[in-house]
Amino acid sequence: MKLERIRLSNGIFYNHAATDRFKTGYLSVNFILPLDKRTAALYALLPDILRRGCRDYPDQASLNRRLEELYGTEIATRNYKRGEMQIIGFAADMLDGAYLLPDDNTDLFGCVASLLGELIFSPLLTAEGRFREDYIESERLNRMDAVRALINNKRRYAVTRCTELMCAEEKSGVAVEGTLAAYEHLEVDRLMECYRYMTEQAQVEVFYVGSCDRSKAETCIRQMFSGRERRPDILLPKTEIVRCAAAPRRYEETTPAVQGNLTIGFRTGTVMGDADYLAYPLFNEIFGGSPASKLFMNVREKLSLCYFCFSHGDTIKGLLYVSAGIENRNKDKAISEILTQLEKIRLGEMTEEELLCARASLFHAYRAISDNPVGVESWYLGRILVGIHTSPEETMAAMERIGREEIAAVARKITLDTVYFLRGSLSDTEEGMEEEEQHEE
Amino acid sequence: MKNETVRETRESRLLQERYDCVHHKSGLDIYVFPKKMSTTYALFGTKYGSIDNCFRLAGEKEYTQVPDGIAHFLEHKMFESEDGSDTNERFTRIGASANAFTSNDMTAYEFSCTGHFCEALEILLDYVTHPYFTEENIQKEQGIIGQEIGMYDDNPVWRIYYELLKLLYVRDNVRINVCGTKESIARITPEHLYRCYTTFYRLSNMALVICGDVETEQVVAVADRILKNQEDFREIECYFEAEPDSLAGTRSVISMDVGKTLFAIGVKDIHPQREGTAGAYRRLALRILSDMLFGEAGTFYNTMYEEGRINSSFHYGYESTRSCGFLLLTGESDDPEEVLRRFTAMVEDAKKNPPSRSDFERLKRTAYAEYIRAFDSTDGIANDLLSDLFAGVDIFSVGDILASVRYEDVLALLSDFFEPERYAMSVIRPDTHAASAGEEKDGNTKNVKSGSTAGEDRV
Repeated sequence: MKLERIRLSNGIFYNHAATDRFKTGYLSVNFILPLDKRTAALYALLPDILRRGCRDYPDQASLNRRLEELYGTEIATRNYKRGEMQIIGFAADMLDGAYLLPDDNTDLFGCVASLLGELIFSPLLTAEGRFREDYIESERLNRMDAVRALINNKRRYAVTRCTELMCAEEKSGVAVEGTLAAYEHLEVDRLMECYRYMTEQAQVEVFYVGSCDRSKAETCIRQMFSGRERRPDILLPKTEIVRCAAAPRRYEETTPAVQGNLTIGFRTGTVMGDADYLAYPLFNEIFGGSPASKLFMNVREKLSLCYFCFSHGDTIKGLLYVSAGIENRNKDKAISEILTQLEKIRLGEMTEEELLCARASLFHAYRAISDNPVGVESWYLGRILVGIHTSPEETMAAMERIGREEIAAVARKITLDTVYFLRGSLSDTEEGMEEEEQHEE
Repeated sequence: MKNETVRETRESRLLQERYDCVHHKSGLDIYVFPKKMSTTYALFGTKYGSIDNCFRLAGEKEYTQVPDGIAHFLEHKMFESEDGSDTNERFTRIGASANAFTSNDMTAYEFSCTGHFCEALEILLDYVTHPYFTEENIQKEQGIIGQEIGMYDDNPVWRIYYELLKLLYVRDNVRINVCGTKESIARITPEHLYRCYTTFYRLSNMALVICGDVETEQVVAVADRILKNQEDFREIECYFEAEPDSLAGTRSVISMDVGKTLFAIGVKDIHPQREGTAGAYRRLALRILSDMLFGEAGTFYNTMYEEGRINSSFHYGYESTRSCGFLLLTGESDDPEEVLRRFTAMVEDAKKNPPSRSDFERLKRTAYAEYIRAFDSTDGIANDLLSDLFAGVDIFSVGDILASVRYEDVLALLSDFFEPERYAMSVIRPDTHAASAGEEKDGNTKNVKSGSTAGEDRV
């Protein structure tokens, strides 16, 4: 699927992926901000406040009713990090215009684009030019609920804690969801300042995947931003890359859970955009990216230590994680097996079969991207953030020449940084004891 | 049942889609839905889930009772093969991605591919028709599934769901955890697995659905090569105890390591109707009714949200199995009792002052759009098609059934469905453990693919 990229004005880009494959249109507006602990909570909160209402639809009830009229269009807020960037904004999913009810001439795309523009640029403000206090307060409390709820998913929580500890001295260690402390002492006065930075200065990436005509869509998107003040182009926030870990660190915390959750954090030494980067996704696939990977085949299938064990990470920052849910007493066994499998790749111990599987499974994932609008957005946006614009097809072609030696070479650059274990206290058995565990409520 | 292949085509003008239904000579029904997309997706499913734990074949005297969690265990063990080859690897090497899941009334094996479709289909039909169970490979799986059970034990969404089902149902097997327990799976033997397999994995109890850029002839040719004709067509008889209208309980409160108190309110459907057009009509009417009562544009949601009694984690939906149905409302709240009280009061008020016809029309249109948008991915289409099939509904007729839903019928359901003596609530309160702050969206979870909805479990 070809992506057309159009610069609309200073730092505002429109990315158009034309396709008639879907019965849905997907439109998103993304603001790229520097990740910083002084502003993370404020930025995280902004889309939530804006989603509460705008001038024409001043509360959730009227706004949501409008969305229902627009054939159940969904507008979701987003807030996540890539490298040391915080990305906030909105994504809209709508019915494709070809499927409206008979005799309905609504310009669905135009209506949704204009509503998104309203939400972003025409917020409800008080006479003093501030956001409504009740909206701020209620969304601040909801954000605190969301931060507290991170513990509900133990696996994800373990990755979060591992990152915080591993990158404590770096921007990447900043919680993109904000922290309870940040919301307790929220600098409400700075919200407008952050809002202005977001709308006037931050790089904006708009994505549309759907069947709407390019020039028509571009006109609607231009309208959304027309008359908005923009400062001169600024550069994307930079991500500091730590190529090599210092001495490995080990942390353990305990929580009332049945299962132990292990996260091992590594520095990859290779990031997207590096000359040798193309070997990295193949490495990850062999290591722990598929059910035919070394981690799955050994830690799960051979040793029966876990249900899940896989590798993932942030390719902009150069972080690699291995996650596994295990019994507490198997912690050392699992760590040792995971490191052994990594060592094998470093030594070039990969069978032809493994190389074949890695390539086949990775290329399948790349070819499948065009079947999913969010996949298309995520592929291109992830690359735009580091100034790359290659398509999945171009990437696959370039990967053809990569073999065992290149993969082993990127694996040798990987260094162990942090082992984090979230011990589950509800099933603690003494080390070495084999008896059945007691499950407690 | 005749051992010959019969084919028909169904079309939808509304969707501009069509699919072929093939009754294959082997006894298997095959559905091929052509779709010009990069991925082709295949789903091979059997009408067999965690609720089917007591069964016999027509003519047999005795019912066989098997340990809880066996359907899911069997699903895991199907990946094992006699020649020791690894099923996942067979798929992966040709660029296909395989998985499987078990729900309370279905087990299904799937793959998606962007090439080598016929080879992948061969592997799928081959491995699902070749069971290989030994004491040794069962023991290995007990460790893996033991950890899967541990993972779900720590998952509050999963826990609160089963806590609620144990309140709503006195005897229905929907109360049984799909994965079973560590104790129940420890009792599973190769004989149990073969017995379940030969009963439920007969081709006439299964269906194959393919969606993607493929031709029906290709699919039939692979089926001709791999599938053996079924000879035994005895009916499967599952034994289910009769479920009373009353509830097993109305409240359950447990504590867990969660950030904020979670609640799940359930409404027991005492006239569940799963099969055919009538069942689909009722589900669609209930869906529109729920949107009218609890939707994000409605008074209930917005009042509760603005008062800070619920947050955006609030969700609701109707679920049904072959034997039961219930409405579920879940969310976070510091005061779940107040949420339940307000929910009850709101419904009683709606009975006296029903939602307007214009609300109905608007939400019916939203449901219409959602129906159309569901035909957007090969896996989504195949999964919807199969679950509709197993409920005796043609997926293309769902659009017509939706169009026929009447405001008056929806209002009638309001008084019929919602009775306070059928309401129950399960609550999870936070442990004293204080959670600290954090972040991070998770990365690639390809080989985990844990089901996002409770009550369904993926390999």
